[in-house]
Amino acid sequence: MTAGSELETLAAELERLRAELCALLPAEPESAYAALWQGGEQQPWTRTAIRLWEREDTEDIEVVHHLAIAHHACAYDLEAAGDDAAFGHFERALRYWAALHGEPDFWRRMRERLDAALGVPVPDEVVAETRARLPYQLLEPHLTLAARLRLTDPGRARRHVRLVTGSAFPQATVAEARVGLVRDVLDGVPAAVAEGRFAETVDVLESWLLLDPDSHDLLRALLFTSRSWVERLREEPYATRRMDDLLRRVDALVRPALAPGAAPGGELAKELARHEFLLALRSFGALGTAAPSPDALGSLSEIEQARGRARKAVQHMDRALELYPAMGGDPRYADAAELRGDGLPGFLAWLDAVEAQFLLTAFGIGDRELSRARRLLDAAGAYAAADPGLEEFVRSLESLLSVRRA
Amino acid sequence: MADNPWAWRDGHNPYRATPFQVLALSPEAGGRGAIRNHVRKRRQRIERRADRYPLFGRVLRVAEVNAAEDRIKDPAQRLLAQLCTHRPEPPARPERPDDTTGPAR
Repeated sequence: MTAGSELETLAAELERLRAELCALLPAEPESAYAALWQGGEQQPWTRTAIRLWEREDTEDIEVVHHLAIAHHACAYDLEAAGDDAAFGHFERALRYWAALHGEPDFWRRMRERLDAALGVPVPDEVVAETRARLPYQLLEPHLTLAARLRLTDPGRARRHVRLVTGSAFPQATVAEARVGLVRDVLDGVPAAVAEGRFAETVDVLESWLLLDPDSHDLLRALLFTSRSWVERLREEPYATRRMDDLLRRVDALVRPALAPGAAPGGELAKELARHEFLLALRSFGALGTAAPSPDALGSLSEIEQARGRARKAVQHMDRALELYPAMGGDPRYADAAELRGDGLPGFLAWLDAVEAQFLLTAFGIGDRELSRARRLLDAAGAYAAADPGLEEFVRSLESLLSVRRA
Repeated sequence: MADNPWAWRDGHNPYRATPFQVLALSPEAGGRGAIRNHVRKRRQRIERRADRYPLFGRVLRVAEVNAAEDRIKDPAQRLLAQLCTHRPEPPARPERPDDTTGPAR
């Protein structure tokens, strides 16, 4: 046998195998619509139908409608089975439905079909109302499932909320649906706080924030509850640790939710400002206790630590007053402006003076220490006019500096 | 106001219980008389041998047929049913033994 005839034999064998294989495969349906027939019934979706429609012109509004139905029906079946693949189909279905919702031609065609089927012209309002309600109706099951799964399967619940927040429906609709999810929770917060049910309310709000982490309504409610609790705890003895833990916990929820550069406004800004003020007090070491005294510091490293805390407190206060410039006018936070304008700068000036004292009273100091003492006294002196005690202290240190220099 | 067909109800798929499916009626079917006759026949079949005409494995009740008939007569509810139903493509319409007016169930 020659090489050529051997090849021909092989090619013929290959063709025979291909023909046999084709005979074994089910025939491709003649259309996507025909591919819905399975098991003697017309299914709302089959994998083949979806595949064939996705091959068609997805700009065609009829094809978009078929795909919206097929993906959505598939998603409902998968969700009922607890299959995570449901989310991808929900996402695609909502995208197709959002396209249909915004397409006037689709609604004109639906109206024509309705008129033809009923034999009378259908009032405009019927179609307009159905169209207006459609986004809410399509988002509702995700809100229901999120609420239901919140405690038992928060990860899955969160994915349902994301389907709502990430949907392509009009922003106002999405925002309204999002508020609707937590309306009952939010409505109950003022009463719960008034009754002193702080811990329980923080727990509930935290569980909802895990589902919708950047919801401003939830963040505002959490900040309100937290600062109301801290305001109460500040009047109690031995509550510093509890306040500290609470502020840290709330801060961990709030901080990542606020996009950098995007300044929140309205009531959220005010609540954030109050939170920053409480963080300033915590950093300063004045939360639940009297403001720290520079007299109590026994070493240069303690002074450095106190300075670091006070500077951090200044940063918090700057943020607070940026968010809510009129916070000083709020009777409960009247000491905020005093803290930033007087308390913290005064404390830092005292730290400079105390550090200068440490340097000037130490043995064997050189030019470097004397120069630093000079700078510290200049810094403290700039504030001394506002504090007679500090002014007198700085004056005595100036004398000591002259002696040490001599 | 019409109920929300997409509302989450355990075990319910809004695309497997449309009035057109319950009535085995094409959403494109026209003519009041023809539809009335079709629904009457469908009701009789469900009354007599509902087990022979299951919908996705579920045995239908006459009350469901009556409710479905009401829904296709109401413009708002019919519009919702149309939204949940694939529009038939005439050239690809397969035959159904139970369907006298179209391919949808």
